[in-house]
Amino acid sequence: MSLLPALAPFLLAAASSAEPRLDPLSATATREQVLVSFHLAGAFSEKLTERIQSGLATSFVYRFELLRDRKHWWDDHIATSTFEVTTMYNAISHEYLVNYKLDGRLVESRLARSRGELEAAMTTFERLPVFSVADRSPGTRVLVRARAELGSRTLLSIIPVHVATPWATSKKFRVPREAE
Amino acid sequence: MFGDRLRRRRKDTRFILAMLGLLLLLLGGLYALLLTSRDLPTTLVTNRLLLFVLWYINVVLVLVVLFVLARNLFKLLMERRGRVLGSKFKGKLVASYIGLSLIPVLLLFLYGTGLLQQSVDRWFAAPVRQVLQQGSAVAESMLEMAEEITLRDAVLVAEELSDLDLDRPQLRPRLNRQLQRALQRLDLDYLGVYRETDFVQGVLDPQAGLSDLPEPGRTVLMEAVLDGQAVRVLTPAPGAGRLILGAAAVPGSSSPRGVVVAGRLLSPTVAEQSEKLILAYQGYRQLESQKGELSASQVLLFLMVTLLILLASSWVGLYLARRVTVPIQALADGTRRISSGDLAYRVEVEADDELGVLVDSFNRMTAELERNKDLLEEGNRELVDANRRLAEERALIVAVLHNVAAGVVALDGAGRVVVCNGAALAMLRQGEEELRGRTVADAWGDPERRKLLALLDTVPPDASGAGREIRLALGGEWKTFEVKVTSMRDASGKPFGRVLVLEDLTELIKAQQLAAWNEAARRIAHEIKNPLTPIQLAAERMLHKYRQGQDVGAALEDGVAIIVREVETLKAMVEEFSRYARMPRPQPVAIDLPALLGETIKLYRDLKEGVAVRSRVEPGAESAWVDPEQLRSALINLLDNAVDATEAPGEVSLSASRADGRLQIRVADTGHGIPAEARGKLFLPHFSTKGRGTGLGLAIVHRIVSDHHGTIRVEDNAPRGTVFTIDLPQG
Repeated sequence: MSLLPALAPFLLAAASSAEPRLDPLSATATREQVLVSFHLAGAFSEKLTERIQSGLATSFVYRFELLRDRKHWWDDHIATSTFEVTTMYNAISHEYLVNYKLDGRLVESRLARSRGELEAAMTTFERLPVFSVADRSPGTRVLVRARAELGSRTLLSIIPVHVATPWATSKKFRVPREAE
Repeated sequence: MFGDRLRRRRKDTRFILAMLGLLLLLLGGLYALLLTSRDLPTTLVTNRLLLFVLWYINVVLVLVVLFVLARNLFKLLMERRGRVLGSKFKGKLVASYIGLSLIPVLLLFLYGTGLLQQSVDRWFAAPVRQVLQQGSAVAESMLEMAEEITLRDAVLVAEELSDLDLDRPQLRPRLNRQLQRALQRLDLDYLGVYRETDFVQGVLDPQAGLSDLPEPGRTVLMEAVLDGQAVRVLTPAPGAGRLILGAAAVPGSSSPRGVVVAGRLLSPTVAEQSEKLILAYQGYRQLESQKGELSASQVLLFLMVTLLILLASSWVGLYLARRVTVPIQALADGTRRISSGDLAYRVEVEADDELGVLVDSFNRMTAELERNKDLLEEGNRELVDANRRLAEERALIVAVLHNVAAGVVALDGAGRVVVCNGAALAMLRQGEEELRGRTVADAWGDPERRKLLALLDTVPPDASGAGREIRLALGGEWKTFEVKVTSMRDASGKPFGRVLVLEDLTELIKAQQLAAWNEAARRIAHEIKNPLTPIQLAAERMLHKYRQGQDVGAALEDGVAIIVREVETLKAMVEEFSRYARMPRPQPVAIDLPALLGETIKLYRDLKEGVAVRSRVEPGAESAWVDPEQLRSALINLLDNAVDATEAPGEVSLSASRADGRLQIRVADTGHGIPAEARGKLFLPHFSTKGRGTGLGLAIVHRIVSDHHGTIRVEDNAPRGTVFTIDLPQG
């Protein structure tokens, strides 16, 4: 009949593996903070690796939006947060310096001594506190949207375009009450 | 108002110049940026913000250029569709300007872009990369080798210390000696022993230049504890080279495990050179990884400059085209308006170059045309008025001519009859079709009317109001006309025709003749009565004497003498009348005029004292064709009157001349002249101003001249006296 239905899974798989994406994105809330866990897949291309190895400062910018869930209507935007991860390779010491900034403020620096360690340091985060919900009403149903911006590339050699993942959305969760 | 426009225009020009200057500065800055971009930090050149800014500027510029071109092309298209005058020329001009700027700029852009790409490619040429890579590899190999040796030394020392219990302080001197020996044997610069992260013992080579014990760091020690070994490269102090640390866990040691750290110092020169090699390759790799962005930045910069040039050239081209075409369109529009009659239209367009001069000239020409048109219209109005007045006058003249008793015939310069009134037609017994439009030579070809031609020939063309009397036999009866010929002159005084005014004197002459005959009868009666009275008195006296019985002899003799004398007088009178009545027709012959005049004048010389009598014959008048006896009789009558009328001192002259084939004989005196009221009856029989004589002298003269087909006229002599002029045709 046609090759397309047969090739569809492979094409989708190839496309999904080639395009960077945030997967999975999960979010929970304590009484004071919203903690997000996510993994950025497909970000480390050969070109990006070469760029990092050349010693250029390379950043991933994660943008988070905290939304209040509303039924039968668009969700209400509550807050925005930016988490920037920048790395720079030291060819003398063979170390990767990784800096973490939350909303422009440096929150952590670490050294990675291997490619794998660097990838994990830049793409995998567990329970990262990105929003404060201390002033939010307990029991409010919220959710988190996130995307990663990976810099830019050029089309037709001269047209710059942003490279970013699609927006990923966490499951809805409630701001915990005092007793919880 | 014009001054305001001019000032505004100058302001516009200044604004345009300022904008062009700004654009040039911008282009210059961009060009400088382009030239120095290779020296800029790569982070700036390849900065995404710069790339995006350049891209968006280019997009905006492309849109602006497209907008400017599309807007003007659309306007041109609309103008051409609307058949606006000058739109084709404007289109060609704009196409030329844009084409002349677009094609070279695009060619330059393509060539420049290619050149740029080649330059970028040359930067990343394979030999360069190979050299840098190999240099970096050598440096790294050297460092790795130093690290491996140092780590091997650390492992070796750790194995030597495996049987040494580090928890026992009393063994520290032994440990120190072993470390000192190993330091010297292995040519190390530092050896230290740690219990995991805690420092136990360390030795330094005093020649190495290390001022303090190096601090390997917790991570290195823990890595060695966990992984068995670890290597780090430290910078002990600025300018002190590099310290390579190799850490190895002491085999068999219990927790906390012992760790031996061996350190070897690389000289600053070696360390710096190797780092330079590594960093040079790193820099190259950075550039290479940003090759795309770098190339894109350069191309976008170049494209931006190109677009700015294109925008400037297009705009300037359109502006210049507008500067040329707007005045031309205005002139063309002005020409159309003026050709449609709107001479008050003025071209109002801002131009101060040759086109401005052209516009000014056009406006001056239009003003001149308008003024001339006004003058023409005024002249036309005057002409219409004049024509109307002329028509009125013509109608008046026609009415006058129609109603006037005199006959009027107007001739043009060629002798063609242009006007003749009814009276003239009636007098000449001709129809209008026989006269109007024909020459007088044709119209008056018959023998009688030809006399009019002869009369016209005797009158000079510039004569004015000269009167002649002429007798014509028309329709079987004699008609006497007084003909006055007047020349018509144009504004410059040049004669262009003549007018003949005919006065029919036939009835007047008849009446005058009747009156003259009445006068003649009265005078004859009187003249007869005069001798009859003495006769009657003489007869009555003789009868009385006889009846008285007186002696009648003497009375009879006296009476008979009186009667005989008076009868003689009566007889002479009757004979004179008889002679006048029986005057024969002239018998013309060729005569010697000077001789005739001389013989005649001789009778009057010395007749009256103080009155000179002279004669003169002009050359060409020596001969004449006349009846000599009748001419002599006429001259005697005229000379009698002239001498009689002239008082001393005075002069009587007799002269003859010939002109236009006619003989003129003039008798002039310096006498008391003839009253004007007497001139009309002067040539009638028995008319006399002297109160004596028969009054037939001038009548005889007139009869003789008429019988010779000539005329005689009487005029005042200057300064006094009278002139009689006899005009005789000469065959």
